[in-house]
Amino acid sequence: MTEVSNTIPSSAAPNDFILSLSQEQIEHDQRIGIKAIRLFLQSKTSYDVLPVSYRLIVLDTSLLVKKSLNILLQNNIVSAPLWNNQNSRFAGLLTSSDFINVIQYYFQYPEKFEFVDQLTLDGLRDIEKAIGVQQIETVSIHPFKSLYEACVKMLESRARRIPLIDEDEKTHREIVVSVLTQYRILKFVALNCKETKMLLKPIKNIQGLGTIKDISTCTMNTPVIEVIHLLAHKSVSSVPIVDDQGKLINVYEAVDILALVKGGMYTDLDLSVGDALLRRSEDFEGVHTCTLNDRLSTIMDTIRKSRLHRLFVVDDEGKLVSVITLSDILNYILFGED
Amino acid sequence: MYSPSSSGPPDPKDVSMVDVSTASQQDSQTQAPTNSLSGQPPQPVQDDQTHDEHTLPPRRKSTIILTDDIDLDKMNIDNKNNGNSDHTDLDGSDQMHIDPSSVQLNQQAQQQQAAQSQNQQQQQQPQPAVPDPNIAVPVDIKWVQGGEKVYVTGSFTGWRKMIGLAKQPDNTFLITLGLPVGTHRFRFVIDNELRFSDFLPTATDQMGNFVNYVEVTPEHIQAHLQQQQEQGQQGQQLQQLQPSQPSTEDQSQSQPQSRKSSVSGARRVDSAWGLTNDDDDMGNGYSRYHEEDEENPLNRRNLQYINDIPPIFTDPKVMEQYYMAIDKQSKSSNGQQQAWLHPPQLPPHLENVILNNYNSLDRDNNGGALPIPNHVVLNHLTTTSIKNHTLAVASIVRYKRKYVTQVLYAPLPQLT
Repeated sequence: MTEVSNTIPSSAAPNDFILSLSQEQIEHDQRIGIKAIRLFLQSKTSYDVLPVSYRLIVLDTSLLVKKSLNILLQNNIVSAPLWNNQNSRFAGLLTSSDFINVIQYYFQYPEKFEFVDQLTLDGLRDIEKAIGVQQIETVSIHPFKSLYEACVKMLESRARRIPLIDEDEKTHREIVVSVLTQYRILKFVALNCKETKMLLKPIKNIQGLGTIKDISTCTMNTPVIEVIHLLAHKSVSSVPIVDDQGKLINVYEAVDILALVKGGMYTDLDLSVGDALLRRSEDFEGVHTCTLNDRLSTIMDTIRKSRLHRLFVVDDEGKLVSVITLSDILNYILFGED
Repeated sequence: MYSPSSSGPPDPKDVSMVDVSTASQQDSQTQAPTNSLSGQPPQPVQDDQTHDEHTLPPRRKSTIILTDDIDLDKMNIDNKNNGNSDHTDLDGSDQMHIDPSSVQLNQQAQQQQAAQSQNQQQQQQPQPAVPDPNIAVPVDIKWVQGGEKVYVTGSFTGWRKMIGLAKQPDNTFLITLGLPVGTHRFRFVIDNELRFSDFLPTATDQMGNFVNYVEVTPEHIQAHLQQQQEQGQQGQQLQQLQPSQPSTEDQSQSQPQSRKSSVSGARRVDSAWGLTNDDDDMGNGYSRYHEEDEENPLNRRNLQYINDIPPIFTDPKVMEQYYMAIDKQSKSSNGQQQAWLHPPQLPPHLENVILNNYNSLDRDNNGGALPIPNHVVLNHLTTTSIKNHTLAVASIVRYKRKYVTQVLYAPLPQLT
């Protein structure tokens, strides 16, 4: 069951070159590197990140929620822009948090199975109101604005993805061009910005990244519905699973909910997290960890190689210490070292 | 910047306009005082003449440079005959350096040929130009961000070979490649560092690497062919006008030739720097672009377009005979010819739906990158079969210089 893989082992052979650098030199390089990456983000637009030819899946808001769930799973995606065919307008993004809302609603009103079963994507806003969660403000950005602006907007709205919206030249109607995620932007930086190699400062010395955060955890036996409540109330994208010694053994992610309620089955909510995780697809990337002594250069290298959405910080014994999210990293790149 | 068509203002610093051989210069001055050289100050001509004499013999060893020289010779002596370059006798133009009298003969012969080809062209004019998919369009790839050694590598060489760019007088670097229809991705190697240009269109490839790209469309091919043809016609008109209208000739001549001369100029610098290591064959069927290498397919083709519908499509008797013949043939060859009997359900190019090539399990492809669509499938609607009252339709549209394949899932209206 343990899927923890230390992609950045703390026992990595110390690089003689890095050790030979003075504290001042490292600080200096870090500042220059961050500044260069920031310039890169300012000089490139969201449009630049797009491939020459790409796929975009859009869902009509008159679709049933349970069917849209199947479409997401079928296409191996976790989110999709919505299209309202009544007013021919972009209608926000469907994300895992929408499914969390539906589950919570059903948990509060179990007698309304019929309603939940026939719920369309249009009806998601009513669900939000009924359970009293804040409506997620849909921020969007024009594809020709800089990546820097896109990142700022995402951080401000606490969104993990941002739709790129333009206007059709002839009809002047909104068109959804694509959706950018934090991960895509960071991978883009990791792939195309060699200055990431200059970021040699240990993260324990970086404010915001090295700061120990208070994180909610669960165990393998915690009922999955409790974990879902945690995801919702703390508005986090994952809850780490630890054993009785506090060692990190797995994680329950918001996107795992898609597999849990597949086919509109809201009957498995009393499962334990451990059993719920058996639904996870086999190509799961694993849990990525790091230590406080790791450097952003290695983290960016890991981002380049594998699709990760956070790194858990563990100590030498594998005990959970903290977490570094992609927002933390973006926030540091945009506003750190000033 | 690149330009898939060969138009553009002439480069004022273009060296090749000055760089001519002695014979051709004398020739042009004595025989045609209104030749393109009349606009040039005399001093640089002298300079380049001496330079040319020094560098000429070693350069002749290379095949590239040989065509280079022929290119120049033609340009200066035979500049009215551009579009019909395939008529030019290469040996003859080489001899022009030695024997001015033969030049006269040669020019006369060429004039005759030009007149002939003009007739040919007049015959061909009403025909619509059909681009041959194998035709390459000259594309300028320019690097303007400094460096000493500049190379380009890309999908056109399978990313294996690096092609050197020639340094221009304004410290930019340029290469002209002959590229066929399609989207070509490339990156630059500047002093051993892989980079992309900030001044060319950019995109990420399937792995997320940032690359520059250029798209060559059949329209470019058409424009290119048309221009070649126009050059030829223009040249002939000029030839007739030459004695009486020197000024117009000067202007118009620099126009169509600007591009060609800049190519040869680029290669000249290139070879002088010893940067050209690659031969013409760059792999994958792509070759360095030589304008003179390309036969004008309009001249090459003896096919004719007609307005009459062949009787096989109109006369039932002929049609029946045709089908009988084919049927017989297909029976004798085990039914392999059967396909001829039935027209395809769809134009064959619409059968290839790029969405069907998409592997959604490929986790590296988080940008949803797809193969580059053929332009003929743009704005067509593809659809899935209806499952669970849900219909998915997809359409490929252009967004600026990229292609979005939008898949829309919608429920069927409830029938009650």
